[in-house]
Amino acid sequence: MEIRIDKNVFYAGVQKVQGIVEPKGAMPILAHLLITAEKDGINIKATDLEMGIQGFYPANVIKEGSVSLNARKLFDILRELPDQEIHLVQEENHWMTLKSGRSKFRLPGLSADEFPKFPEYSEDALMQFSGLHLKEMIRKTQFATSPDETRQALNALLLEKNNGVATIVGTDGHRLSLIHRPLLKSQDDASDPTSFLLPKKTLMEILKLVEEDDAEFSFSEKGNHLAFIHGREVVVSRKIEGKFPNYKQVVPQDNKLQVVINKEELLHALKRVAILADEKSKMVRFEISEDSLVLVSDATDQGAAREELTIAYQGEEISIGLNARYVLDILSVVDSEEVTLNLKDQNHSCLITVEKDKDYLGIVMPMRL
Amino acid sequence: MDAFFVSVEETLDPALKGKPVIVGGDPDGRGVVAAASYEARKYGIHSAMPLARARRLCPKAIFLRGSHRRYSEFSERVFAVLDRYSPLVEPVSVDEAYLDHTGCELPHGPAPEAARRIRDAIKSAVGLNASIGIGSNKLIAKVASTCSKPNGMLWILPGRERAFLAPLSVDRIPGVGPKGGAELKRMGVKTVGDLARLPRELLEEAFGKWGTALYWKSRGVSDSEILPPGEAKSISHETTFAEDLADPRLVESALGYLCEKAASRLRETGKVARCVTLKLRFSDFKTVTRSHTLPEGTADDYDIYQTAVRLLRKLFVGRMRVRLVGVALSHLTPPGPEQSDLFATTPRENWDCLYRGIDSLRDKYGFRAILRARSSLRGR
Repeated sequence: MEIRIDKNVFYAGVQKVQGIVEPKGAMPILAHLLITAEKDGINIKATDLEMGIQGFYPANVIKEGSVSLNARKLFDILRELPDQEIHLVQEENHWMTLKSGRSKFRLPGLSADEFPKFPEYSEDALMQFSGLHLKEMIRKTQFATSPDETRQALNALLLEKNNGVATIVGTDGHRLSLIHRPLLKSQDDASDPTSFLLPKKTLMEILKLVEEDDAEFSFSEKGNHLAFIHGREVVVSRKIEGKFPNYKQVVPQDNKLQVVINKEELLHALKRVAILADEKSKMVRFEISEDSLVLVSDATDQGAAREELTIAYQGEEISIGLNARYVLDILSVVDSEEVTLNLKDQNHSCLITVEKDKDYLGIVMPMRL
Repeated sequence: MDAFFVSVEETLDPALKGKPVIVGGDPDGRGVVAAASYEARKYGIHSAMPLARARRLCPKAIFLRGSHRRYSEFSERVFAVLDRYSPLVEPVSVDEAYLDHTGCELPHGPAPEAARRIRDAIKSAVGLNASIGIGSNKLIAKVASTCSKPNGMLWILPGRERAFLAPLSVDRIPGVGPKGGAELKRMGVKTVGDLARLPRELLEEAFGKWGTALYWKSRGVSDSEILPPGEAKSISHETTFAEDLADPRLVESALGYLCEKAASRLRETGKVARCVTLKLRFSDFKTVTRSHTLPEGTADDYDIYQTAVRLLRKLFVGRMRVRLVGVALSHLTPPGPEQSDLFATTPRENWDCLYRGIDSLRDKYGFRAILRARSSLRGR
């Protein structure tokens, strides 16, 4: 194998797989990436056996072939090299020589045969997302997933399609975040399964892949694997088994008390009051009365804090305890000037909506005092 | 209190008086003597002796199962009397306490006079005999009270502490058990006086910190303070099976019962627990404990049982036989704000209401008035 390739193209390709290689795992080969030189470019693959990432990058291929190299070492070298063409030549016993200007490196490779089989995926798109929407949907829901590894379904995001619209939901059982966005294209066949559980790690890798807002991403399914495909870049992941809770049932329909608040004001006031909230519960009391919202955190070991905001509100008085962390997570992903807290009473969930975007909502369950 | 459990039984059934009575349970079982009447003690029967052996020593003894409910009720009445005589009472057990008489001379007279009044008051209010030791510190008061039993009173004058202790056997000193006592006997120490003659360095070299403690105790010196009753740090329940169990289902149901008991006591304190500990003793007496810390505190039988049973299933595998199972709740805190659950099918209030109902039923009709179906009565 012998290639000449632009340093920045090569560097970007090697960088994209860094997230899933395992530098210190039980299987040394998983610390490697696989480079395959074909007619007009190279294919870079990596896998952790649960998921796989591959991309194709144009290169001047002098001699076809493939080899596996330590992903981290290659990445570190490329990062420090100046912007010059890179010349990669395979020597005996899978050794590779990398030359750039007056620099020269020799890397011990492993035979491509030792590299694990890349998971199989389908090119047949069930859904097609714009880069803009895919990125937004993941960003606005992934914070709500559960960190508890034993609750597999809550560890993942739920992806559904319905009439050309995709829905992504994340929840940890205490709060929930939901977003609908139109698909570019959708294969609507009633016999298809329409919901999928996306592993958290896969989502983080997809976010890295989305560079341009107008890029197109296809989503496909084959056997036990799901795939996101963008041109010649692919993220494949094993499906998560498990039953996602019935989220539609917990979206409140009759939370009639509506409190409209300036988002920035609430965000900063809540951040300040939360500093002195109980370390574990992070509870802040929202005391809402005519034209006033008072945020209170008291009776904790940390001290006490109180902050009043002026709001436009004429409804009945209500006081509700909420985990400040959960509310802040939602406020930080909302892109509008105002948010609406929709409440029923102190025992029912708080629904957070945005006037400008009816297709996003957040739900936070209260704390019982 | 003198032979407390037995004395309580005697007040309730005067026909038992003057007979060898043993509280502890079924003499055919594997339990131990919890209390023996002075009559029974004449046969060499003492607390913690296996019941079967007690019966061999005294076949005509009367064996009673006993009722902790009854004993705590009497104990509360005794403590109510004590509280009238001193603002500082340290309970040691259901039938033992330290009173600080400092500053109480004016209302209740000098210590011996106050002690006499306390004994009379307990006799007339509760109908039980109490023995009282008076001393310049807790150590002396404790030893004096033991020496004054039954139904007596002993006052050690200040300055006479060392002389009082000297002729006593070393194992009369609190903190010297069978093991320590044997160790000391091997060194030629039989009485407290023998102990007091040993140089401090020698004791410290042989026993470390405990040696220092012995040095002072043998001189009747103690600076241990009288402490008001503290808050419980943990609540635990355990049971030894009548025969070792190999069937996990039986162990689990016994564990269910213990969890219910512990949770019920926890709810009485108004607190929640964050840590659940399971204790298992196998037929070879190997004892293991495992703990799990919950993300949020709980006082629900169900949560506690689920946690305990998960720990049990990890430990109790293969061909093992279990002799004892127990559960302990710790990290007790007042309930904080509680995060409600999005997908809970039953609202939290309903559970609270259910447990309130269960607790009030039990208050009125006893603990076993209502039990979960899985909580078997086996092994108790």
